[in-house]
Amino acid sequence: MTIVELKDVTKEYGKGVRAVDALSIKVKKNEFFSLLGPSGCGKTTTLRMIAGFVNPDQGDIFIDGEKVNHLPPYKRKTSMVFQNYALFPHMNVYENVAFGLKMRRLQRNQVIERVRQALELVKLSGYEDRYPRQLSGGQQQRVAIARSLVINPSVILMDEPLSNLDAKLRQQMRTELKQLQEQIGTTVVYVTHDQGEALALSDRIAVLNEGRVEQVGSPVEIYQNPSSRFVAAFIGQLNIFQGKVRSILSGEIEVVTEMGFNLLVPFREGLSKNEVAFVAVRPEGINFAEGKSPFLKNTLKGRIMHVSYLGSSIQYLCDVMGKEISVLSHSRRGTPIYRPGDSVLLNFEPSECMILR
Amino acid sequence: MKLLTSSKRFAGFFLLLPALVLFILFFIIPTLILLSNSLFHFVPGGGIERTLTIENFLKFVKEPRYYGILFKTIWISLVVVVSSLIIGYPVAYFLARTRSRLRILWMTMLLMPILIGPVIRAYGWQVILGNVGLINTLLIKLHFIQEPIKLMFTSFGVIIALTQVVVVLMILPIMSVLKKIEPSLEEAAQDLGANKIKTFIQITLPLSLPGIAAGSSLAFALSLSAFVVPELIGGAVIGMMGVEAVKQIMSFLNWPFGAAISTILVLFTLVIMYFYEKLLYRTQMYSSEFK
Repeated sequence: MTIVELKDVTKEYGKGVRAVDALSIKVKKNEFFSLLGPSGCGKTTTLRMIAGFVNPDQGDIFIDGEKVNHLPPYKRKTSMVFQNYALFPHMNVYENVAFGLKMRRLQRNQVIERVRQALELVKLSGYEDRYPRQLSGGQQQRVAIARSLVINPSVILMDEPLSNLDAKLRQQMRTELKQLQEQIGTTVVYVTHDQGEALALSDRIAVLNEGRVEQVGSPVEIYQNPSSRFVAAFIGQLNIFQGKVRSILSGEIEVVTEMGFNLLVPFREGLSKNEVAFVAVRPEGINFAEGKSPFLKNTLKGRIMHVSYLGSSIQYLCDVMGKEISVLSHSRRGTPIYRPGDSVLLNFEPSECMILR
Repeated sequence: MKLLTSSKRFAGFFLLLPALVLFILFFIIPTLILLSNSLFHFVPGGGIERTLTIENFLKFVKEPRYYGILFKTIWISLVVVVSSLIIGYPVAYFLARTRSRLRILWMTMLLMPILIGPVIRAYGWQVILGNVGLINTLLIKLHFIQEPIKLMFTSFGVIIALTQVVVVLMILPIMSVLKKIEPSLEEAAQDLGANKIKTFIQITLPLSLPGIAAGSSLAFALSLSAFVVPELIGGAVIGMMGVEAVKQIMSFLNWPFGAAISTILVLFTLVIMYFYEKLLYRTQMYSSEFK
């Protein structure tokens, strides 16, 4: 069942600058849906249009099947967690969380009970009398979440809620946020520019670029089968070889790269012979083929340029015929660690390759 | 480290010194001399007998003509504060929120009146408020009234003219506080179900209290000690504290009693400043800048 639907929504700022351009998405009930993209891609504008702070120039927005285009924010069944939390500084934690309930004219004892439950959910019981300035960033964050979910919205909108926290706390809150969402089973639309966050939290991700949807899919789909070079490059690191389709075989396509060597990639519909194509390989898809034949398919000769030991993995930068290739290998005990200057053979399975236009 | 901070502190003091010298030499010392006069005996005819007495203060407290002036001054000042708050707040809100390029023009228009001398401004009000002035002529021409309404030499006239001066000092602090309120706070309130009026009452208004406190106390202190407007618009009929002090000193040459009136005025202003500080502290406790 669809909770939030955007149909060909367009928003222009100024003359002809389209922040959001004919954007259509459907968010299902109880789904954790992320809008992911670089700054200026229109993700925050989209979220603010769902909340009602910005009106679309064209297109329609539906929440719970109801067209809400010109409904003010206070009449929409949404609630937002702001990037800066936007806690009311003159109200304590209890009053902050109770605010939305009081606006809905709930009975006093009901307000007390629901605030208690909400604070328990975010593990802040006992903080009722504190003021926002007396709380740490993480605690403020939890109050903001409690304040949003206590009014039982059809959808919770989150605008980069973790970006103001330090790295370690961000990791921890990420896990808690996901657990909380699963526990209360609410629909979340989440805006972020952090691809790791989107991959870890989301049921589905919409990757936005210049106000348009590039791809919608599960984190695995987006990561493993990006539909465009933009998506592929935005999600994770990538090595890209430009080339031309040389031959189309059963199950595989052979591409000859600019640099002259051939690469075998999995078959994909819609490519014809001599068409320009891009072959992309993730750093973790590349292995060192020590002691193997250099004539093996998808094998390149290279030289190690730079090594970063990251603990659980090792990041190598290799020079392959003047092109910089990034390789990420697992670091297990006994795994040989190459040094700059070492000659290596790089090998990757055709199944690790993505062919993009 | 310590050397650095102490030398910094010394530099700070050094920068303050010229202003401090001027302030003490030409403000604090003359004021103290004037105020000390209030404790001396007045010899009719213009003399001062330098024996300590509190008779000037007793005279003020005992005679209804005098303490009545204090009450009237306070009452007029309160009305001026309230009316400039009612007129000024919407203007402050508009100026804080507008993104119009005309904002500079509005600001200039706002500040213009205080760039004109107070005497000229008061004469301007005489032209507007007089029996054959702008308001009365207009109302008679439009047949709203037959006889001119008395505006000059009334409290009402004084309140109008004082409000015009003081409203600027109300607008500026409120505007600067409103500008610092995160727009996301108002958005959050609306998002949680508060309409625009509730958002204003529950969020914007309480968060702008420091500005209201600053503006009100400035406006109140200025109205209390006003001289030019009550003198030129109110005349002899509407006595206010400032007018009375000058009258005592200049007309009756009664320096001690004039000084006593001034002392009472200064004490009153200090009390207001004290409460203002307390109020400001309380309101700032939860203001967003107090993180």
